[in-house]
Amino acid sequence: MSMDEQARRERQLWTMMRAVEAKATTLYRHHASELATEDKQVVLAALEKLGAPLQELEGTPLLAPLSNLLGAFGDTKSFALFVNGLVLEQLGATIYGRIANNVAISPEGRAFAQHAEKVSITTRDAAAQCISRSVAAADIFDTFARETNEVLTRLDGLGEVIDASLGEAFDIRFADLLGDLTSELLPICIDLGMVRRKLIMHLTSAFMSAA
Amino acid sequence: MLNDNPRSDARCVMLTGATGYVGSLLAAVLLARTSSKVIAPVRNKHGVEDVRARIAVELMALGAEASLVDTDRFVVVELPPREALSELAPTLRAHGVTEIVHSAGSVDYFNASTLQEVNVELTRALLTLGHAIELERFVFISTAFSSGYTQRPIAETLHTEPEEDPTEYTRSKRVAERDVAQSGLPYLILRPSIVVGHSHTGQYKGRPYGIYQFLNAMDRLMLGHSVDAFHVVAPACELPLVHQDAFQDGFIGALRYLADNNVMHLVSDQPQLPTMRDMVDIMLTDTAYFHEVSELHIHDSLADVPMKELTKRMRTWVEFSAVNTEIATHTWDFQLPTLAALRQRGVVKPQDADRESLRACIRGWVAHSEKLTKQTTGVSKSPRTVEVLC
Repeated sequence: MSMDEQARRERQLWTMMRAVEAKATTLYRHHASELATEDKQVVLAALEKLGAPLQELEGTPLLAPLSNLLGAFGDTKSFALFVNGLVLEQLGATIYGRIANNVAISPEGRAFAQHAEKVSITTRDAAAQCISRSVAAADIFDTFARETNEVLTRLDGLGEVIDASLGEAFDIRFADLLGDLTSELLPICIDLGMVRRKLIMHLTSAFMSAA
Repeated sequence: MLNDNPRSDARCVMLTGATGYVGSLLAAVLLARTSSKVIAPVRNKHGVEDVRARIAVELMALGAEASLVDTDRFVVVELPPREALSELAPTLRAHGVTEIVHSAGSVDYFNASTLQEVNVELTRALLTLGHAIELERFVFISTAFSSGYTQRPIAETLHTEPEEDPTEYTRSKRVAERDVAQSGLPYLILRPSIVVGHSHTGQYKGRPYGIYQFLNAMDRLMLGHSVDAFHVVAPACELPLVHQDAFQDGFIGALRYLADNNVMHLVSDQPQLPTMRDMVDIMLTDTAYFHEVSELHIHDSLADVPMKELTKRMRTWVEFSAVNTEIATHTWDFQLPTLAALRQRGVVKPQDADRESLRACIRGWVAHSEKLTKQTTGVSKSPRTVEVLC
């Protein structure tokens, strides 16, 4: 792969992250101020330099499934905490973590990813604390299942294009992301009082039963 | 339980859920094997042509003319919101609808609000609609697992509350069954188990649930990744499957012969049911799934898997795939007096799921698995099977 092509794909990666982080930041500002931190603003500002507006993905296979994912975003506190704060921050940490030491990524990108991974983990933990404080224990799993189902299903729709667009360039495979995401998310959700069996059934259904 | 003589086909049947897999099977068999006209209310997001195409595929699977769905015997109408369902009444009266077959449902296992809305409230609204049009019969497609987990034989009667449900889905179906039975309308409640592809061809056009979820997880998580030690949870527990053609056959038998206000299990008779272990054996012998695997470790339960030694991806695969074993590891002792009686009369053919019919279904899936097709083009080696027995 030529250096130009590699750079183009890296920009696509940052553009995707930028679109998701921008939505998350807005949601945090409106519904979960605990998560609307200075650090998250710094991450978004960096992504605005590294990536491009979403329209730049026009003509690529990434745009449709990414837009489909973003289209499922809700506009409630519950959505901001469970989907963005818990699930997508963990996914973000997974992606940033995988590319932070990847030599195929530019030095500037790697330095950013190291920082962004830490911010995502801090935000995820803050979301978990906020959920624990603000949602009745008996309702946590039901709310998690309700809020995450559509987004996880649509996230699954990104799998093949991520593999095709970024797999070779950055050794990012959706199966690995899914493995990391699930492994990291399970103990956090169980700590929140969710039942492991139900959680696995929900995740399996959302990820593996899409039409 | 059974009428002496077959009931005449309804002049017109309203079928809910025709855009889904089970609904398309029912639409196809109603068109192919009865003289009834079928009215299918669908939400506007579903293109009429998509609905017809799905049903056409299932008509062909039955050996019927696909064009039946394009005749005036099949009518698609707009499904109003649940609160406005009564708006359908004039249309249904105009078409002479005398029966409703209600197969629409949500299978979001734990999305309690959606399950309540779709499986319970929509059913209630349809029952009210049924009263408004003086319906002759309401046929409710429930699930064989509506009993929840129980150690007792599962009778063809309404269930009491179990100690535990596999999912919120099974609870919602149990609630809806009670509503149907208490509605005052003549009813049938049909309880299919896990519906899988055609018993001979393996054709399956549904979403990847049940064994297909297992195969899909294999495709998505593990194919294309060379691993030395592959772990899978596959106990020798029977899979409560029913083939789509057996489901359709049983449905028609019930429509014709089952007396009003009865419940029927649409499941396979147990003696020859295939097991999860059979499934892995077939994948091993008949497919290329394990061609990049050096050692295959087959476990009886999740607790036996050395999870800490596994990569995150393998761990996720094991967790996701083991979900499928959970419902199988419970003993489901379905009582089948109605099916036995229908078979005795020669009305319903015995098409129970067994190892060979499962093989047909796995082959049917594999034929459409792009990833597996790619995998088989590479150099393959036979795995060394390491069985871990507990």
